[in-house]
Amino acid sequence: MKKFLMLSNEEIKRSLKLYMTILITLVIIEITSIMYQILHYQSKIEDLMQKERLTEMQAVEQLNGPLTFGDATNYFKYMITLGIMFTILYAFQIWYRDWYGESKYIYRLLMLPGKRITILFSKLTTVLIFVCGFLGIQWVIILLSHPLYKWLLPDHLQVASKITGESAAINMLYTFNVIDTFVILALALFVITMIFLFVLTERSYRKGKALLTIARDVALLIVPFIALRYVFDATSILVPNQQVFVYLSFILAYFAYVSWKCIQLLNHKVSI
Amino acid sequence: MLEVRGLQKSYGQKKNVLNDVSFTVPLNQLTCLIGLNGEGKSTILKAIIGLIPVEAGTITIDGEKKQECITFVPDLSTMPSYMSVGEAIAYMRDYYPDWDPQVADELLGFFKLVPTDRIGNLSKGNKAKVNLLIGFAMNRPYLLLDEPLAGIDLFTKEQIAWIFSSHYMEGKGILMTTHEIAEVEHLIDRVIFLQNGTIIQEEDSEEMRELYGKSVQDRMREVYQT
Repeated sequence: MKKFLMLSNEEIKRSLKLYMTILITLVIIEITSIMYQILHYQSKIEDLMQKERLTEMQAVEQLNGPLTFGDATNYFKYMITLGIMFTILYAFQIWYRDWYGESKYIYRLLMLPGKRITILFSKLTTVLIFVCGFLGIQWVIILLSHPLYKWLLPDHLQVASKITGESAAINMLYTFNVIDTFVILALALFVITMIFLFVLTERSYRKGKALLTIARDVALLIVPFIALRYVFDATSILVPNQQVFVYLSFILAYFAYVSWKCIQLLNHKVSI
Repeated sequence: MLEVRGLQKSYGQKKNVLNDVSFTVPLNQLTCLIGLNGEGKSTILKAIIGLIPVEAGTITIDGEKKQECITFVPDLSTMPSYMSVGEAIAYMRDYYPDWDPQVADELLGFFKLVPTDRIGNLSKGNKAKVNLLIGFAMNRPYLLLDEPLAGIDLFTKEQIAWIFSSHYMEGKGILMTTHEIAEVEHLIDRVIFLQNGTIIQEEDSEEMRELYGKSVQDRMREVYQT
């Protein structure tokens, strides 16, 4: 446990500067984007009023009505996509920097006393902590954006709305529901573990064999999934609730396989 | 005694990178693994410490599997480059219960390393010194050194060579790979010649001088040129 905490602390320390830079940049872009959307909308109304001699009401109508909170936070989906991309890249980078970085820290990591599984868990924990941080900061930004929207835009140009409900991206992330949050984190854990498996496979085998092994592991996920879907669509053996249960059981079984494989590769196959 | 038996290693199409490699490393001796580039010297060291998997072979110490008795000092920096020398020492102290802070302090002074210097900013010679400091302060009976003298200046080589003849070597069995044989010729007790992943000769350096009347370097020339 001590080794796990120390390694996790070290991993966080190593990436904190880069992570904070990315996070702050995303926050600045998001705040700027909401301000830009509101000011741009207002300037378009003024333009229409001046050039086409419309009343404000007519100009608003021509712009498909008042600006909703969903419209104002339109750019958030790109930021969320960027956040997801950075997380995926980081899941690769957290391993590869130890092999290809300025120093070959992977030597030290693999030689540390105790079980190698701790290395895997510390890296997994670090990425998950960063995902939680990203989710948390998104929530704060979305919460702050709503008063900003209300404050910057005159009442008659606004649509009375809740924070959620208008933007798919916001709906995906901003949830008071514990189960939804758990699902997002479980999905992140699943994707990160799969990336770890790809990296460890690539570090364990020669190019051709690594590619074949990765293709096999991906097929092990996709083929049964498609087969299940086909069976469920073609027959009515199970009711939808039971189908969900079967899908979830399959994903859990696959996750167990991926985790086991990662540990096996790290213990017996990975090479420096 | 560190005993390596039947090490076998292939890399994909490249079969027999190590071919039934067997030898021993006694305590209180400096054993030198000699070979041309790409003969498998570093692979043997990495296999012994468990950094690369092998197809077959056993590594035992006095008949038991005790990897915790072996330290590996590679020829490149293994501590994160953002760490200072002091932080690297603290890191190792935290992870290794057998860490000897006195040896670390002594070698820090002997090598004139500055604890606040960033590892990433150190010269190759100073990185080699940090590696050696870590290796010796881990205070384990067997030390594997991979090219400790490669690419460093004369004075650093002399400092490192002094370490090999000092009290820090007492009770230790050293297995070293090097191309700089002339620098450590007088310190080598045993020589293992490696070719194409196979041990072709294993000789006591003293006997070699008496038997052939040749230095290790001359003997090496003879072995690899025939």
